[in-house]
Amino acid sequence: MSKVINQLKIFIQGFLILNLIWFLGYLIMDTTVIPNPLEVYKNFHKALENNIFKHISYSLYRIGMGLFLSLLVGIPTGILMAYSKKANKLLFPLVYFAYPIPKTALLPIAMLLLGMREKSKIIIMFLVIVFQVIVAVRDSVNSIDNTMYQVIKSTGASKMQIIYHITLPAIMPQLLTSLRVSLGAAVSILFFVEGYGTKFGVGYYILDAWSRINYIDMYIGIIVISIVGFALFVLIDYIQDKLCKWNKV
Amino acid sequence: MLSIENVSISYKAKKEKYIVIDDLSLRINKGEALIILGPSGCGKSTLINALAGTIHVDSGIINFIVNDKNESLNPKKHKIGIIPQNFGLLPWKTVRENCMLPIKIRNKNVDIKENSIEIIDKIYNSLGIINLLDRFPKELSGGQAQRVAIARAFIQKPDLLLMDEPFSALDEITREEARELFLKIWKLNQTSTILVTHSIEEALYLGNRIIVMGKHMGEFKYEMENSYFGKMHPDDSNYYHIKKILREKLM
Repeated sequence: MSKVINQLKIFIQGFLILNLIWFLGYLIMDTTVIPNPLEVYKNFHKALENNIFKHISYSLYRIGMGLFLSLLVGIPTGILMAYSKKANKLLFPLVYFAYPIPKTALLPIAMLLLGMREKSKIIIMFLVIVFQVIVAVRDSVNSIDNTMYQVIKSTGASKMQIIYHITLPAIMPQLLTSLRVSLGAAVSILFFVEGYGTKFGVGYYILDAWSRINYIDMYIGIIVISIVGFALFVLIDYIQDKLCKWNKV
Repeated sequence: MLSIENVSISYKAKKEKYIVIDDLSLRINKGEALIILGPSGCGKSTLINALAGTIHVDSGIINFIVNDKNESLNPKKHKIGIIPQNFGLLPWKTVRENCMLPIKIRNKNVDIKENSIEIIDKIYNSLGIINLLDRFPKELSGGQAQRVAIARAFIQKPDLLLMDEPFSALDEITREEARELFLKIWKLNQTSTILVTHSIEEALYLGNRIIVMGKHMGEFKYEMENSYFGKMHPDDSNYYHIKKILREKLM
């Protein structure tokens, strides 16, 4: 419990400091582009009138689908690359080459091939996350101590049992750590993928307010997207706490 | 009885084949504790790996013989317990889950009725880990982890027990305690055991029979029946004489 309180304290501290900087910026810059934060918070109820939860759920759906597909493809691929030298030889150059490519640069191609709707958005999310998953899984499987296999193989375990009892639990800590980073990236990608072919999503909300020169609304969107990012962060923390209790000590 | 006949094992690295064990034959009688003494790199761990089923044997036969019935040694059929050097506990499972893992996995293959809860609790108790059952391995000291590994090996009532330098990760005092405790449990079960080590004292304390392995492809340099089995600090001149012989053979 004290851990939750501690986290809350850090959260409030950070929140206040950030708003203070914002407020100082408002005082010093004296421009409509940086409105008074109090003005923004006063108008926060507008977000509800603007159906903000619908926007949030669209964004979460896109991130969620991208994440789901990434895990679905990334975990088996990573495990395969760790266990099969042949697969690693074949796939590693591809992963190594594709890893640093900025995936958003592929957005035009995804749009042309998959259209302007959800498919191209989700595929970009997928591409942003999947390589990190593959690399994290492969590396953590490679670092499993050999004696664990010795112990479980001497009990006559099948391949599936080995994956269930050894491989999957072993990849959890590193996988979740890398997901924390890639989900942060996924949230920022919302600006790209929600800039076309949709009327919903927090990214769209901000871009739309921007184009209407409604800066108060725009800031509301920025705050909302920050909260979404933060919530995902906390969620991963929570899952890590639950699934990797053994690793904390 | 375990019978190893003309076994050869090699591994490949950079397209070259390295022979680790060449044409090794060995028998371990039922209820015998066999110690294989050898310098590092002699292939003794490779032999343990082969018996545990983690590496392939190039040629030769490993048979497990019960009541004159010959069966190829197979972890799916025979209960093999193993205590590796770093204990091999799964960090994501509690002590209890670690200890029960072999039974859980064998559930389908082997009759588990004989593993009644009473017997299991007795093992926990005699190893002094009954209060540690809900801890994770990271919360254990080296000595405690070692005792958990011993419990895990014995709970499944193994047909064959494999030990690879099981006490070398412990400090001097904990090591003596652990050896003593191990011997106590071992005497209750009389499991056929192969223990590889480079400690002469350990060999003389825990082995009915001792084999000294040379550095070259798993050759046997020396073999002896051991009359000092179970004697912690025997104080006779012959003991020191035997120690000296073993040390010379080990060089």
